[in-house]
Amino acid sequence: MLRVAREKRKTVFENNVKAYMEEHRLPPSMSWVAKLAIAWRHYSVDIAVQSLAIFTFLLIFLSITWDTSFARILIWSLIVAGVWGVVRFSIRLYKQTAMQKELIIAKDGTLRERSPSNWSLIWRRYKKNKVSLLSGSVVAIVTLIAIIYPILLPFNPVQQVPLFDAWNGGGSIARPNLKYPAGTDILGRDEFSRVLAGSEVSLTVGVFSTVLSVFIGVSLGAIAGYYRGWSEEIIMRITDMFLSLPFLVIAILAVAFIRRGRIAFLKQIPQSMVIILVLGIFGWGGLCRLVTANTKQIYRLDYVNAARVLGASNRRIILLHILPNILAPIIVIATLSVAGGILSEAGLTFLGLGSPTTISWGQMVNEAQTVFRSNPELAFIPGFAIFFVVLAFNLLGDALRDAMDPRLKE
Amino acid sequence: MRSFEEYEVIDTDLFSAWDPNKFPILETKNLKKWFPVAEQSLLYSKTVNFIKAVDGVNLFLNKGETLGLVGESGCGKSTTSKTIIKLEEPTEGSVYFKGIDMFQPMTRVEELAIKRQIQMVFQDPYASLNPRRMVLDIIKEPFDIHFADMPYEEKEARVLEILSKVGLEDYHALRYPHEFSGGQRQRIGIARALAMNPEVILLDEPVSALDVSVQAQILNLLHDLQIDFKLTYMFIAHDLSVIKHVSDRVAVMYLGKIMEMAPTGELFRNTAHPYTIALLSAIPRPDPRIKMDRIILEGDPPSPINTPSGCPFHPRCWKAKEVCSQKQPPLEEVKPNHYVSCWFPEI
Repeated sequence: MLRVAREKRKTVFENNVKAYMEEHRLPPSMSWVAKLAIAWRHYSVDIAVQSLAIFTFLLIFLSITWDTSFARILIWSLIVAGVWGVVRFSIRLYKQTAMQKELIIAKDGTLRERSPSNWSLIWRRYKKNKVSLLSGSVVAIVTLIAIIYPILLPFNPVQQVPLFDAWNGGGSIARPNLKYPAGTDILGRDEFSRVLAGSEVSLTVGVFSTVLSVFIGVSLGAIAGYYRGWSEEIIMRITDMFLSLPFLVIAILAVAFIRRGRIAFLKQIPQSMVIILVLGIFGWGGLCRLVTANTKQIYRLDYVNAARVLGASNRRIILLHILPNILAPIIVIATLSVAGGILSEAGLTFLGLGSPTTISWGQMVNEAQTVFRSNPELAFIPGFAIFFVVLAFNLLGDALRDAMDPRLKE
Repeated sequence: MRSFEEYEVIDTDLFSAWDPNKFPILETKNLKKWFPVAEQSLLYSKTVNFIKAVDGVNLFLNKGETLGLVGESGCGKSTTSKTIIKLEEPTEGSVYFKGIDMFQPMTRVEELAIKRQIQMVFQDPYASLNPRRMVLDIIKEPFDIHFADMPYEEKEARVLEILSKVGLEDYHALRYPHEFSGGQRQRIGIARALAMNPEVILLDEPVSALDVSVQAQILNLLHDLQIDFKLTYMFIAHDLSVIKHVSDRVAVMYLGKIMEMAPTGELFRNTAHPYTIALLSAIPRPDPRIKMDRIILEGDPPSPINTPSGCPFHPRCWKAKEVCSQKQPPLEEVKPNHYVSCWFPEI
């Protein structure tokens, strides 16, 4: 596959474009070093001014409430300003190259507009919908937080805060205040830091369980739909079996046996890993059915017949002709399945199957039950985090479905 | 650019026994394709009957000619071509390409060697091109499959060459199928079939999905390509005027069997089979002064599940006698090169 991608890049048409650009004295294509040099020339002043502004802001507002050093604030403001400059420059470069890409040159020298690919058409339809843009950016931001949360944490999420504080108090079950924006939990740990850190487990469980179930479901479904006969019969009966298993019971049993059983080495497996495995191994049934039905539908079409007449191997037909054409429903189901994974993780840890050493939203809601009457915000804040992330993923799934299948809307 | 033969990995011994002057390039012998009709229940499925789509077809194609295969809808023309090209497994009988049984067990190298020489153009130009692939990738695919070690630039140069041969421009290579008209798509399908420089091309109703003006363009293109590449065509159609225009010989099919096979002029002048006579009388004449004496056949064509005994045409034939319902007439050569399957042919 990599070779195909590499081949695609060096087409004769690119040489044509180069010749055209030389003829019309357009600037030649640049190396990345040259691009960065230009970026520096364009944006060095911007970066300096911005970093100064951000530095002042952080100095005035944050050093009062947060216990942070002067040097740290300086470094952070430089990083933020630099990243902002790079982002702005990349947007400009992207627009330029996008314009170049859309033009191709015919033999007679005339420029013709290059047709939009299927994916760019999908992106255009996706862009039109405001809900989809919003849900997409929420998903993007949450994913970003889950990756870089260690540098965002104001406090250590597993350490108790000091008992007394000059302004806002501290210790356990503190109300939300300027220093602890979401208060502290029953053991006196900063709730805001814990909510940030909890995004990692939720996203990891949702994404990796989906990757696992998509892998199993798509491969089995493609095999069943392509080869049919007895292999379809066997795979479909196994799918029926997996679809009729009670998921909750199995998950509880799996956690109980693996995490709290007698075998020492199984106990080492992290609790979120157990949930990923259970979700992935038991959650592929619906997707497998969908892929089987779609594969059978594509298999009848003449372009698959044409590939067979040309002598294409079965692997080639499945990977190059069938799977790309059923990718849209797979992506939609996968997005919805991420939301389902996050919910299941929260549900299982809420039921007490989590480990107290893992920071997870469900676990936090569970721990907040005892003080729900006095401090309901301790349950509501992680609860709303779950709610918004799951809602964003569900809306994203719907938006992708609309964008990828225009017939549904028109 | 290196010659094509340098990339051929197969020794040419495979076809050495074949003599082009003595034997046809493609021959089917008693080819049958029966589709099982299964009775499904919860636990088991039982085959209760068969749809006899192709029921004992004997055809041959001589090198360099165009054989027109004509018949009404559902008579098994497409299934015949799909079985010939190994998209379907025959129930009985065999297909010989250059003297080699296509369905004998063979290695992948031998199989690819045969597939390079016999190709197909499909009926529906909207379904025969993968919507997710650029035209460049679609036409490049045969090179990827057969000549994996060919350098990329050469593959691309060959694709552009083929595109110009079927009347498309360079820049079309970077477009997707959904941006082309039906005629242009059919040109792309023809280009893909031509890529491996085949000897035989099966054309499965290549123009029936197109407008009449575009039909003429595609037919002319096919004619020019046949001369340039010395191709042998099997042209399937249900339009008799198209068949009369393009073919050297015509085979008429009815209910999975060949009724009559003769050179085009001979078939249209000295028609021997009653079904062919009825079929030819249905060609519309573009002149109101010519009086049409159409032969109206009674009833519908029988279902291919319960085919009539004996000659499949006898329930609707005005010349049918007792023997017609008892014994299937063999496809016999009544005149040189004129084959008829009838007990009472008109000669």
